[in-house]
Amino acid sequence: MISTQQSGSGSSQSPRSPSTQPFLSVSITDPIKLGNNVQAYIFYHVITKTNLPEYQGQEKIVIRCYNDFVCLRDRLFEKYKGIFVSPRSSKKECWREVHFSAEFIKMRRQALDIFVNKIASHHELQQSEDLRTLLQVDEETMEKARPLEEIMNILTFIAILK
Amino acid sequence: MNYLIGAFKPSCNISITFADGKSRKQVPIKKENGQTVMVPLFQSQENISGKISIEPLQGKKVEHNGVKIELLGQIEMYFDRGNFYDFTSLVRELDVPGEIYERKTYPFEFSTVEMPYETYNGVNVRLRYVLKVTISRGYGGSIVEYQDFVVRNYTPPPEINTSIKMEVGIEDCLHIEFEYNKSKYHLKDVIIGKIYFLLVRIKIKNMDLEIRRRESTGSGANTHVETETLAKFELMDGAPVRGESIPIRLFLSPYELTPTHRNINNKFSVKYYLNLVLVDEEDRRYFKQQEITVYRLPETS
Repeated sequence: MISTQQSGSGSSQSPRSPSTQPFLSVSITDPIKLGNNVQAYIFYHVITKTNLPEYQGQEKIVIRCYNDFVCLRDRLFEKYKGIFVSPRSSKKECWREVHFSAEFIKMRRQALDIFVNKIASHHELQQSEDLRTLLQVDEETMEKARPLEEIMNILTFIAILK
Repeated sequence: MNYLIGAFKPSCNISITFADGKSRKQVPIKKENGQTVMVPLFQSQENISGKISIEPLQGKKVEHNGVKIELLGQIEMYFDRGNFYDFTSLVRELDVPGEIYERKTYPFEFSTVEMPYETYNGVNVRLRYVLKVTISRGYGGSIVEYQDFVVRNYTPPPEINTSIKMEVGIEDCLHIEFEYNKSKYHLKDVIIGKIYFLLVRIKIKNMDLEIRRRESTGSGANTHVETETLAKFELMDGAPVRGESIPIRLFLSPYELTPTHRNINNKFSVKYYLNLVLVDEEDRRYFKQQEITVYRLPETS
């Protein structure tokens, strides 16, 4: 899903040509299960395609979990008062088996994809540092950025774009 | 030697000596100017005593509004350079206002000094202890002399020291069980453990164990973290198979570790992590970080 964006907000610049219009698009793909039998988490591959200068290159792939997006949503809600941020999709408290069922994972993946692209296509939220952190920082840094209550004992990895 | 830069020549020599200077252990520290000097080593609750000698130069007399010595424990944040936070401050008045014409010596003593934090020299923060002598003068500006000393505190071996044993993996791809013999290690300890491969469906080319130090300063939204990899030790070269066990034997003494510091005076923390890293044929890195506690064992002399 590619989203094009009008430049600026009410500025009187001449319109940019389509190739230099800022764009930021994200794909949530390939769920993967990390952890062990007792403590397991579903992570997704998050592929970002962009021409924004603040981002590290045109394409980057990272792995993130559902809760990372929940934290992003909460931070944006705090920092961008006055802008309607997509509501949190309910964090369902249900049996563990459901959490790891293919359907549940697929549903979450789709919800995250819609959510993050709504943020990415909003002219102001697009600039947010929290969004950039989520989409760009390497997994080691991300591990440390997660709240202490969420220390996950996982073997994680740094994905590479092919 | 105290120096006054510019036209003014120093009017006196101040020397600070410790009572047990000859017998006390000295350790090297690096000064601001890059020079390494030897300074005495103390631990918390010790007495710090000695003498101050003030000697006027070139026959001049030194008029002053009082002489005092302070023992300061300071934390300095590098982004706030020059701004010292004193967590400990003790003072002894040595002399009332007067004049010094010839060499005068003052004894000083600080008894059973509480120095709960160790000397620490880090990337973004340092903690130091210093004796500061001040000859107060109005118009001429006070004359100040410093003497650093180092504080190290010791912990007895922990009564409980459980091993760290965990299974982690990536479903259908790689499952390992890692084990480290302890969760708390002293500075000259050795990490003994193993990595057991339960499932290997990727082609691994090597595995390393890193020791990383994380220094965090500030708090809340203003937390700044510096991570340094202090050691990188190759555990395995080549592709392991399911059922294979790789031993770990890593001596800590060659590395510049310090004890774990947790929330020192609410200003900084220093923590250590073992980072197990596996690299596959496509250069993808898989890792598992595990915190360990490092402590300083009393030295057996």
